[in-house]
Amino acid sequence: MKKVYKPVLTVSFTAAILFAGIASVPAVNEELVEKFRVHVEKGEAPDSGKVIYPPDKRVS
Amino acid sequence: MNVGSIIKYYRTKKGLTQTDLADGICSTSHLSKIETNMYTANEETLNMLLQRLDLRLEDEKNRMGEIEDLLQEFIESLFAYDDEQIDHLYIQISEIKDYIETSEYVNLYHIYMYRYYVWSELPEKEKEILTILQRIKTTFTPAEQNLYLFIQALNLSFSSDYKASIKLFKKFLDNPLPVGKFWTAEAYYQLALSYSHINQHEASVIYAKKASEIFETESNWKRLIHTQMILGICFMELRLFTEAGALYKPLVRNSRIFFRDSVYPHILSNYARCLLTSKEYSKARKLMEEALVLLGKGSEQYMVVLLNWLESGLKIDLLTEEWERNLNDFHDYSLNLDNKYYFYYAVYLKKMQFSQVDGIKYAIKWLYPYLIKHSFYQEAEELLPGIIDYYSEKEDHEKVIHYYDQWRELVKKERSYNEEGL
Repeated sequence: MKKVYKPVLTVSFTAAILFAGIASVPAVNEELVEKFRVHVEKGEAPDSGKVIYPPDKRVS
Repeated sequence: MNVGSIIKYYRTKKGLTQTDLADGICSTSHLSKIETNMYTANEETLNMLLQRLDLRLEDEKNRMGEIEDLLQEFIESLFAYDDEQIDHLYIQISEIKDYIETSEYVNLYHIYMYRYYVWSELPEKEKEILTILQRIKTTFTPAEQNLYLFIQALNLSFSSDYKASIKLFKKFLDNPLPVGKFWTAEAYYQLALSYSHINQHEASVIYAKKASEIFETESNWKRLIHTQMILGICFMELRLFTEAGALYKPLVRNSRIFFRDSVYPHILSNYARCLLTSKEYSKARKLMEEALVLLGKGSEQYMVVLLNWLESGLKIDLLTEEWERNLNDFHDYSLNLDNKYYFYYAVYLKKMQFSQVDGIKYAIKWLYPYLIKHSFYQEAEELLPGIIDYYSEKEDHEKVIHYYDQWRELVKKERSYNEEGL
């Protein structure tokens, strides 16, 4: 297997949050709220992501 | 008891006309009214009609009692997920279907049958019964109307319309008519399930606990295990790891003893996911490896476990040959299942294997928007620290702010969801 090269990311997530917290105006972004109002297309996505829900129909 | 309908049933079965049966007892028009239950005949006429059909009123009353018991047992088996008994009772009921249809249990029969066809995944039959239910719903008693409401709520939940389903289940529970504890428990269970699916885990916990209490009293073990599975998922999502740990220990043991061939590997997988979230990688990987052996390769559940296993390998830098082989399998299975969720993850992991930057770029373009679009907020949230770090490294402050805003929206959304559900 090839040797994996991973660049080290120097700025931590916390630092990024602090930076963004200072740089941005902490207001509700209505555009994003609207963007998150999503409609799921059936059959395209699994029911539960990375967990398994109990069966609700005959288990064949 | 609808004696008129019973008379009609036996008369038709014996191939007699109304004139044949009524001859010397009453007029044909009188019999016609009796048969449609428009008119209650006096005892003498009734006895003469029954005698001509070789029937005894007492026997018919007993038979009705048996039908009531049979239907009750059938719906209870459906609620207990007693697969073998459900099929056995279904055959018994089907054999006397015509008779039931003449009785006062005709509406209940159709309501229960609808539940059965949904459980059996027979969509054609489901549609057929739904049409009948639409037609007869005006004849429902108030109790039957409430049960019909339950069936509609369940149907919405199965079609993933969880918000609408929640509304109807609550309406069902608001009705003070006594319907039996198992209906109530199932309604609580379905509410817990629906709330969990829409990320309102606090509300889900409340209903799951209510359902648990009844399932425990009623000794409905299968459903109790199912409810505990939902609770486990909720505790993990709410980061209540102590509660989750206390729940999973007996749950893993009991499911191994009693449900090894069904939900045991699913529970192992969920427990492992919970351990991954609390960063207990090695313990989690052991559980996932056990689950992978028990699950059918390429099934939906297998994919869930394998994805978690691959991600944990990446996190702790265990990119062995086995990891690479499993990733290739995961990629192939995602194509077989024609499922974009797994496919995007497969490509993302393949890219991450060689370059974190390429992986993040792919996540920004494909995986992250997909997760947001399909409401996988937890997964989307997991990707955000990497994405924000990537843009910080590039000193693209605008993007950092943009994705930080998204992160904040996701957290806010989770909170508002939970408040909404309570």
